[in-house]
Amino acid sequence: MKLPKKIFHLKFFVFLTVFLGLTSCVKKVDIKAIDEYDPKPVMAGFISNNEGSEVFLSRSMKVYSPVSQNNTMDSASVYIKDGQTVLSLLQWDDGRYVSSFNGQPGEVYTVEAEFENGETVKARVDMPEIPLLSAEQMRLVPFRTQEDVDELSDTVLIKVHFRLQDPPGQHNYYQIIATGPYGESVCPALSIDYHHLEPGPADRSGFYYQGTYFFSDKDIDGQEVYFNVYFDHRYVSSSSDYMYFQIRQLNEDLYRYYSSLVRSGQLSGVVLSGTSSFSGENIYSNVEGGLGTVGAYSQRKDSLEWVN
Amino acid sequence: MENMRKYGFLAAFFLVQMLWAQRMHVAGYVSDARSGEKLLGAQVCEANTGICVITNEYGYFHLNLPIRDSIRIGVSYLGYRDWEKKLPGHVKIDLDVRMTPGEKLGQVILEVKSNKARPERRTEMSHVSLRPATIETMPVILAEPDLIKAMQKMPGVQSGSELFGGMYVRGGSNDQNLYLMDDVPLYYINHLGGFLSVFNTYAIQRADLYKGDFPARYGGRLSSVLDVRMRDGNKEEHHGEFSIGLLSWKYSREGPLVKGKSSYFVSGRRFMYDLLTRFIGKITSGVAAGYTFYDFNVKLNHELDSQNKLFFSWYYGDDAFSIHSKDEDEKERFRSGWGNHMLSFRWNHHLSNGLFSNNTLYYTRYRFMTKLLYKNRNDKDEFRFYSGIRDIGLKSDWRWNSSLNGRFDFGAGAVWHHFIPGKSRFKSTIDNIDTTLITYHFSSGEMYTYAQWEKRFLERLSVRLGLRLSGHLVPEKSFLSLEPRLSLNYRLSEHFSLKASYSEMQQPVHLLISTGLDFPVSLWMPSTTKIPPGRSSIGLIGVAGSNPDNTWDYTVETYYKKTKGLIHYKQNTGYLTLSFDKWDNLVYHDGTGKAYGVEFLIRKKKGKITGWFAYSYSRSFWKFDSINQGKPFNYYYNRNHNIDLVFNYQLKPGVTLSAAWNFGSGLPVSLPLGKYYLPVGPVNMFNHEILAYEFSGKNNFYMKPYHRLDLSAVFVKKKKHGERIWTISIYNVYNRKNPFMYFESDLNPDTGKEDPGIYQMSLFPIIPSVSYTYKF
Repeated sequence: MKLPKKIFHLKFFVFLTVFLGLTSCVKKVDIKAIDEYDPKPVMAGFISNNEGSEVFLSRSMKVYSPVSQNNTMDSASVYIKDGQTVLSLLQWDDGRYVSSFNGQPGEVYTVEAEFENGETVKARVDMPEIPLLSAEQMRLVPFRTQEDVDELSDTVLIKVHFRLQDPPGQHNYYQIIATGPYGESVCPALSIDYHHLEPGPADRSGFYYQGTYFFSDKDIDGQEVYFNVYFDHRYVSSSSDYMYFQIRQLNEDLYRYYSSLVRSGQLSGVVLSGTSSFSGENIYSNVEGGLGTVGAYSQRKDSLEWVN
Repeated sequence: MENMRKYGFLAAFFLVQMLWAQRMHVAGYVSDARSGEKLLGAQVCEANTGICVITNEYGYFHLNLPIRDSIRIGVSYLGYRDWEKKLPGHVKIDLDVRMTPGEKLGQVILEVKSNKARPERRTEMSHVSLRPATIETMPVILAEPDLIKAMQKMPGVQSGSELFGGMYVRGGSNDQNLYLMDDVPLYYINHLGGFLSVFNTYAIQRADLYKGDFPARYGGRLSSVLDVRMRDGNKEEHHGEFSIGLLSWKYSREGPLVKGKSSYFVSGRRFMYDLLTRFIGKITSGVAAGYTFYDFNVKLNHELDSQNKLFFSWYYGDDAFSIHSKDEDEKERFRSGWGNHMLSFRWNHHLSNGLFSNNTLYYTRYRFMTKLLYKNRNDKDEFRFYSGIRDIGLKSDWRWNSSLNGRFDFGAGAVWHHFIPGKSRFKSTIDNIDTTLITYHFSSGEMYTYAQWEKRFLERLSVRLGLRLSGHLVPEKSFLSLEPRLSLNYRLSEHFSLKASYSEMQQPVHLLISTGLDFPVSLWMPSTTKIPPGRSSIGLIGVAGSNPDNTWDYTVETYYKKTKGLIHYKQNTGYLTLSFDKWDNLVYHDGTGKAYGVEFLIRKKKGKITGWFAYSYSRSFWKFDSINQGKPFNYYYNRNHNIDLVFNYQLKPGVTLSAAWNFGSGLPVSLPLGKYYLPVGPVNMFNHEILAYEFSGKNNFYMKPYHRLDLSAVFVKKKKHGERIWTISIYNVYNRKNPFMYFESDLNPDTGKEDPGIYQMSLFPIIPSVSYTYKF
């Protein structure tokens, strides 16, 4: 009876293989570059044209440091300088410094922080112009992207028509924000695919981030552009018949900050080195001597009523 | 004007030569005497003139000789006894050469002045050819020989990361390889996530990999072409074999349909563990789950007459995962499957003047589908998803050998691509719904024509010139591409030559791949008005040589490759967020690539000990305006240094021992060094914060090197009715914990205790395995 014996041997090998194959191994590795990593000061914040200014200070840590560690930087001196005047920001919370100072479009500022240990970081901030844009109408539109799409959905979209005049000869960056009366987002991520921007310049050079849309004037430089934005009716507060609509013009640093944030994949908080799904890109920084970004925006904010 | 006159004169000269020179034509096929299988790449020489040719992909040769009273034809092929015949001179001679397997028998007529099979004699570069005998003796994981795993041991071909399937050739990605099965493209070549390829070694006759210096008949991909020819089947006798391994059970059968005229070959294999897991699951929990793969190859061929042959090839293969659960009240069933289906009809025809043609009509399809079914007493819901690509192609390839004027290849073809990136259907009886949720279709057309001329000058210099013109038609746009090919070989001495080549290639289809893993949900898409076809150009310089008795040969090649039109998913997008009609908005498509390197290959081909040593130094960089701040970064799956040592030793008749050692420097990764809190709210920056990571740079840190030793022993024994073969393999003999991935963790995954740090995950430890094969 040779065959049963052979089958027994085969089974043994099957068992051994499955057992060993499923036992993948994990071990800790020492990486010199991490051990030698020198923590850096972090400064992030903004100057706006009508919502004041804020700065957050903290310190980076080695990648495997406990996350519970409080790394905010308190008791620092934080200033906004415009060449002639120096404005001091007040500490409001852990690591958070605020001021009611509104930047003037077209001006250049320096935001500087001096830590208790004498370290300083600074960032140059260019205030962008207020965007030349008007929201002309807003109405509910029964909307289908294609005949065979959304057949199960009762989606009714709010259509807002815009006219944007892009200043010529310079790079401009925009952000569209739509919120309900209580600040709630009306454009959550899941419905983004159903929102069309027409005739489509922003489609080519923009990106979505948490229900807001960022785009540059790469394809529309100096042009007056008309386009429609559709928002999903279901996400607007039913108790209200109006919403806020904002268009911001960002300075380049702030645009690059959000852009790199989205591209880096770090918003998902997963770090895997060894698969190409992870971008492994650093988030943009304009801070001399540290990490983070201090940017600026100028915005228009309109309250718009919708018509049923 | 001067140039035109010169070229006109040359053309007239060749034309006159072709039309008026009095020549003899000796043509025919070379085949295995026992099985009738055609032998590809056999050398056929005429002893008096020293003129030699190599049999083509169908075993056909044509010698164009000056008129003589008698000629001496000799044929040689590795692993076969030399064949020789003296013949009276005639204008037209048809030969049917049948060669007997075995060692050479002393007298070899035609080690002649040339041996065309030697690397220094061949005009081409960067060409690797493997036969099943080589693949089957190579030690591999779970004793399951595989063509792709064998190719990965050649210089310039890498495996990416452990577990991944496919090939990464000279810094290119896996989707930049054209995989051909009997002349038909396949879009997905993995089984079991890459453990095995779809090429069943039972069914392979020969595989040729072109890493550069592409013949003009090939096009459509940027980095390489793997041309796999499947077996025709034995025309003389019926034979078969079966094999039981740890990964699959295989069976094949072949034999004559009309003795000496036509034959069949069928083979199939299946992964069997799902039967076990389903059974256990059903008994223990009522849920039957399992994963399996299977594939079938069928080939039929018929010789109408000495000038016409017909071939039919069929391949069907799938991977499938399913879960079934059932109780008294309800039933749930989930099934997901992906795989290829290929059909081809070929007609070989050769004319008396030595003009040979191969005409192919084919269909190829790759698809991924998912089906979800829920049923209870009152309701039945069903959801289906389908995505895939289908091609229908027609092509005609021609070859004409003129010993005086060289070899001409020319041809044309047309392909219709139909892309279905996503189609869903939902049915529900309780809601009375039956609707197609998403349906997108794209079609594109591809046409090409090519011509190639190869000629030897003054015994020492050989030149191959080729040009391929291809057009790709998509809605609202057409892309035209002219792809020049040039190869030079100058023999500095009898067994040493200097070579150079330049090739351009275009790739009209793009693979949307979000993870780097070649998952079945990766989607093939056509070029669009926004995304043009990818394009590559590769320049090569090298040397090749062999020792006088052709026991050893070697090649050294350096290359420089540039690519453009690369695509890369934008971050936070992927298959699940894909809006199929606007997919080109979700990728960066301005990518360029640069790769360069040097490769060494030394082979020992004869004797008790055979094998090879391969080393490659390879650098590969990608660059996108919107990634890594526009700076170039290391390509994900490129190891800078790679060594392969393959060693076969015939201990005694019937016992072969093999060892294979691989070393690869670490894969590039993006390693986080530090982390910090960052406010990231889009409306109010301070409404939301994340823990951000600071990297040393994109892909500029290298994981630890990869190396492992595999051993195998093959025991062959004659039995009463056939031959039995035991193959025993040990994968990763010294149990090296090779890095697969690095990750950060606060806890030690093994102990569960707090121990923050960077951890390395390794996949495969030492794995012994065995397989049993019986040939009859």
